[in-house]
Amino acid sequence: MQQLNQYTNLFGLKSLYKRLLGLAAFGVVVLLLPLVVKDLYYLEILFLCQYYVILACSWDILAGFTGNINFGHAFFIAGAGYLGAVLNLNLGWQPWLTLPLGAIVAGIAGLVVGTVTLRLKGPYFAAVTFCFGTLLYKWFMVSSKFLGGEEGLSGITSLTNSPLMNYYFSGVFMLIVILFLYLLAKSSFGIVLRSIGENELACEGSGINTTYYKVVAFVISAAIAGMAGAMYAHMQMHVGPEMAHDSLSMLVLMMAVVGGMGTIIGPIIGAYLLAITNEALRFLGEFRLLIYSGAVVAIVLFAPKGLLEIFTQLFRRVAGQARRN
Amino acid sequence: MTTLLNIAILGTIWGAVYSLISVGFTLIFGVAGIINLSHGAFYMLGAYLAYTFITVLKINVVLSAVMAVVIVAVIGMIIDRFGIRRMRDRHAYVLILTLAISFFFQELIYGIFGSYGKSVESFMVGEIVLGGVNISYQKLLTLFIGAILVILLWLFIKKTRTGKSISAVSQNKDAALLVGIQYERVYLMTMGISAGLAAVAGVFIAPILEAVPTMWSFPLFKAFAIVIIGGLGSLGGAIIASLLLGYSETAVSMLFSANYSDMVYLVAIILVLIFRPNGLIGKKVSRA
Repeated sequence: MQQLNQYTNLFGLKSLYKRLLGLAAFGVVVLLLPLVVKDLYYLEILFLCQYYVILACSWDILAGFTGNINFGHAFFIAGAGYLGAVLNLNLGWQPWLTLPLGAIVAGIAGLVVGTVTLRLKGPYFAAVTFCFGTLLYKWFMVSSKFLGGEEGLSGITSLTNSPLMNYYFSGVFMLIVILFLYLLAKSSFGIVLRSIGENELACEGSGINTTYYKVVAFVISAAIAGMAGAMYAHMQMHVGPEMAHDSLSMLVLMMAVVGGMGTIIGPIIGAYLLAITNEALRFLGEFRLLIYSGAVVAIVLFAPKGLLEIFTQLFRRVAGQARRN
Repeated sequence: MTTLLNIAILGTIWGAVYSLISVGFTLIFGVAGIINLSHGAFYMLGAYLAYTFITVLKINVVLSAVMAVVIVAVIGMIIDRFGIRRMRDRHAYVLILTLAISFFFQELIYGIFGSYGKSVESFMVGEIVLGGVNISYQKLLTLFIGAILVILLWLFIKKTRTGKSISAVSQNKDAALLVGIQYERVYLMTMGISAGLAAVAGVFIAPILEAVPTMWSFPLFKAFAIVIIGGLGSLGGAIIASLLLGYSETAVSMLFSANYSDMVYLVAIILVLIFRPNGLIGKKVSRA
């Protein structure tokens, strides 16, 4: 019950319309930002932010709602990315073909992997997903020239004609994903997912086929991640084995955890925070990741619901104070 | 013929190393019911502490090894007491926490030591030739120490009172409490032992493999594969499965290519979990 309240009571805004308004406001900001930010360097960083948001949100669909932590999200991201690259370089397929195909193939892969693994309990599922991710990485590393081996593949067609258009593409993609997620969460499907996360046994006792719901969530999660991966491949015009590396999976996980798993705004915050501080703290070099992992440890220990929860509590306390005065 | 002997000997040696790592892992799972994803970090810390003490500070080998193991055991206990203990009921968070801790140590090590592999001198230089196969003394020493420690652990758990309390808690922690066993203390001790064993593996492997900041993930997931195959909480199962993995990896490495040997455990986890979720030998259930 408390979870449901947390969800409906976000920032004290109870009505659906206020939330959609918030999303619309955010959308407007995203779309108008390039008028203020002209520097291509910043635009690229913002592209990354939006890309990370898509990854974190897609991860969160399964992990945040149902509690099944996926340690191998990079499997779908890199898989679809490489697929898009190969199709592009060998068959000349353009982004408008490779992206949807990436989503479909990733979705199918999610279906296959999910069906056989989601009947397992949490830690085993987590371990198997890690294995899939690492297997793909190792396979890419030792692969022949066709998949580029350690170097990866280069010379992929660019996503759009300019960095500005890239930004808009990912921005619109991101907004659509957020909207989709929000509607999903509000639907009965989303409620079932949440209840699975709260107490899977009780759900099964109520006659719900939890595996089915988990698999569908996993498929959606994989499809979105796959499409994002293909998008990234075109944007970077290069794919490499590092796209499948467990550090990317972990980064996605950390973004969602730091921001707040299971909420939609949480991964958004986590993703923007990570991408921006990644750049802002570039002078710290490798210490950045040290700070992140330290932050994740701290957050899991002291504020498991993530930064979003901290903000919401703060907001409520301030609002409560104001009301009393 | 030499290949077969090679596989037998090297496989056993690696089996011993994996035993050291996985026995602690399965112990923690059997006793505390948690999957400790920072286990690999203990191995890594053992290796890097060995490097720091032996190569950088030039401290005597035996003293260095002991110090490294003790320090890592203490770190493990701190993680248990202040980290995992708060989260025991929420397993998903334990996974994330311990994984984040591993990552944290990876970055810490990377920051302090850099990404280039650090090597440590062998504790005993030289090698013997057994049936046409060259085996370094270091590897033999590892096998020897590994076997002794595992046997000691087994004796400790089966014969001593403290060891039996560990067994009791793994069977039923509330019942253990009823007979006067403080299970939190047992968890702490188990964590210390587990971390210490992993550190021993790290210390002895340091001269054989290079130490790199990412070296925590493969022992962790190999231990996972071993524990799944051997059955969670089963000491004997872990040892047998460790040997199995040691042999299969060496065989794959000799017969195909060293690149593929690193994938054996990954494939093993996937196959076992899909087809025999209850493990090949063990008792605990892994199905949802």
